[in-house]
Amino acid sequence: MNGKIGTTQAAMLIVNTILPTATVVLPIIISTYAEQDAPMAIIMSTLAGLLIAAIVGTVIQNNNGAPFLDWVREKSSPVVSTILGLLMLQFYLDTTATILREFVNFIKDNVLINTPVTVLVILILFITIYMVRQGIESIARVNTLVILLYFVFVPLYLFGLFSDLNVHNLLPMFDHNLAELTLASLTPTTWMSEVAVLLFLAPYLQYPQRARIIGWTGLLFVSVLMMFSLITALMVFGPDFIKLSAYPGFSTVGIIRIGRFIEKLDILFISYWVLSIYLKFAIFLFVTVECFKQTFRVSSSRPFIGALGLLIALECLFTWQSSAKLNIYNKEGRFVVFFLFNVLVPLGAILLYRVHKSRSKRKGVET
Amino acid sequence: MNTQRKALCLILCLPLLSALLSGCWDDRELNELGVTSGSAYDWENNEWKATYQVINPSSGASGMGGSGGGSTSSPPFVTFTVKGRTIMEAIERTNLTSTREMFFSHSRITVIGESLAKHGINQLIDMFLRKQDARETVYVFISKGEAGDILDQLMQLTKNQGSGIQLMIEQESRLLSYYPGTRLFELAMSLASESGSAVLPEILLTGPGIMDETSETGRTDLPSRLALGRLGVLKGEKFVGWLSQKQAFGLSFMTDNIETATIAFASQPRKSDKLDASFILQNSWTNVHPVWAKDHFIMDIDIKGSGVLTELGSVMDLNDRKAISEMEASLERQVLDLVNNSWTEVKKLGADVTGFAVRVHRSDRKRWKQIEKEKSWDSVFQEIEIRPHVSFQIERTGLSNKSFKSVQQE
Repeated sequence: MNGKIGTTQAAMLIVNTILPTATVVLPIIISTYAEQDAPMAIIMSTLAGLLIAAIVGTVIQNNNGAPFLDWVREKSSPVVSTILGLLMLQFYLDTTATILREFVNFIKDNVLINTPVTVLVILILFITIYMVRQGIESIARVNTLVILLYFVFVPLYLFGLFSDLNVHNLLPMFDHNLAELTLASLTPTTWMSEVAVLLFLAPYLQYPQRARIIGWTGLLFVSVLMMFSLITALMVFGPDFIKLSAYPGFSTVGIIRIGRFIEKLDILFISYWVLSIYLKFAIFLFVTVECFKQTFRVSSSRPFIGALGLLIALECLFTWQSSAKLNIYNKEGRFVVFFLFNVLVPLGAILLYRVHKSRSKRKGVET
Repeated sequence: MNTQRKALCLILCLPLLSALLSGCWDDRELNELGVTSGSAYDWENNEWKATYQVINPSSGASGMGGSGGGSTSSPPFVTFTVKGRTIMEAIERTNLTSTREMFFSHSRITVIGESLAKHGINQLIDMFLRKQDARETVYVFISKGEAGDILDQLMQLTKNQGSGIQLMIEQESRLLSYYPGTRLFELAMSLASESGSAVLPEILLTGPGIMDETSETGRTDLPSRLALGRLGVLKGEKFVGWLSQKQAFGLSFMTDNIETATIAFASQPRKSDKLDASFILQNSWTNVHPVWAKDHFIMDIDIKGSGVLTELGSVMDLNDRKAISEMEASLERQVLDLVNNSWTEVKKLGADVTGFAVRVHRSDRKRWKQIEKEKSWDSVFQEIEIRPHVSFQIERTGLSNKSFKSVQQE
């Protein structure tokens, strides 16, 4: 079931690995610190993301698309690889659980107010497990179709908002100092660092040598779309109002009106967002399963998908019950954890590769 | 055979998909919903008094508009008035009297009573921004008396009163430009901005009575109608005063909110001050530029516009460029008067509805930071001097080159 995916497909997967929750969680965090200078924060985080993508790409180039933990095992020792695998598994379980919680919170806040969270979690999980069981190639194909829908939604969004866009709301520019901009760009950087899922998608890449290009293309696309979403929200609502709204992007959609007959398009855009978050959740569940597979060296992961899904559901239901706790984690805690696993681990892998290479060179000289 | 079985399975499974459309625990039957088209809020005896206008689905096509045909005594909408210590408590209390659950997603207007506006409207805005089915795009109005009374009044030409008032304000801001319609999110934006002030159009009843019986709307000229009146000014969250329509018009020039406007002016101001000509302003731009002059700000307000002459009551040859220039100068003076008059009143109210604070922040960041730190905007605002410059152009003079009066005199 798990065929190889092309470079464009992989780049599009990166887009939906980052974008769906980024559009929901980030605007409020960025605009709290940077207000109308929010685009600057996006640029800064994109630059950091491109650097992370380069690091991850280098690791994949070095191991030539081999399963990451198997490669670590080969280059270091089984103990190191198992410990790293367990830690990464914990990281991906946590991350996937938070994605599920963000998904459920959004649906509960906006659409299904009375439906119990448990029912939503179970339904979402069933659908996503089915998606993951179909393999990464199927996910990538569906993902491509979903991304192509931007060609419908972006013009509709712009056309509907045209009369409410006020460019003066972006002024004054450069009103915030570097410290505030850095604070504003920290959390988006953690989202950009999610490009590190490529480490576990590498065995399914048709051309693993192009991993850097995949990462960069995906991140640039994310950056453009984030910028587009934030700038339009700022132009419509201004820097002060945007901080009031829990989901500024969707509040912007709420005021779209075309003539006297097309309005209340929220549900249309929410449906599209649900499509893309399903893909994000599926990608992360896939990566979690892949991490499990490599850590415990099981040949087929299919029997374990349900079990891992159950763990994620339980963590989502009981650890992240409070949305305030999740908000604080997103704002303050996430950066440290993501920096550790998405930046330091790939950097460690590069270091491992260099050490191993110099050792084998030395051995070659000795013999 | 296998394909046929698969196809059969698929066809049998398709109806099962309808189960997904139920909306789980959030299913709502249309005939159990009370679709509100407007709401009004008053503050009475330290309690919220809320009035909801619910569309009456059993009301047939009556003589009140549309294509007509048939008649029914059933009104097109019904209103519920409830009280509560909080807004939500009041809303929930409608369930004590109504057979239908309130559904706010199709609301068009919200009217705030002066009593509530004086008490403060932050809680109301918060409810609108927080509640899932509340619409932040509703048009907000203020009324001098009880806001609830406004919702009881029936309208001619339209059955859905909320939607009718929405049309009225959209038409007004498009054709008259005395003031722009204020949607709830725009109100919140203005109050949350550096200026911290906002304006709301007044809605009122022209007569003493309320026409709330369908039989009363059968008359051609109703003794009491809904109308748009003055402009209410809010500072912080509280009502501070009114601007007359003229003053509101001047404010529209200052804040670049003119779409199309008709200006009456004296065509020969050297001979007579009588307003005997009309001009439709079709394009208008306002540019405000704050300049710091040692101890206070000067606002350079450049108003430019162009349009067409639509009425002329004096003897004049419109092929004469001098006559046109004279009229343009008269028009400019007229608008200058409007702006100055409006500014005097705004200054008296002490509410920055001109958005000057935002302009200062955008153009002079350092000084704004200092003002913000010292929280001295109110005193800085009082010191502001405005320098309006108006430049209008009469581009066309309509279908006649001479006034009818001059032809008659010849």
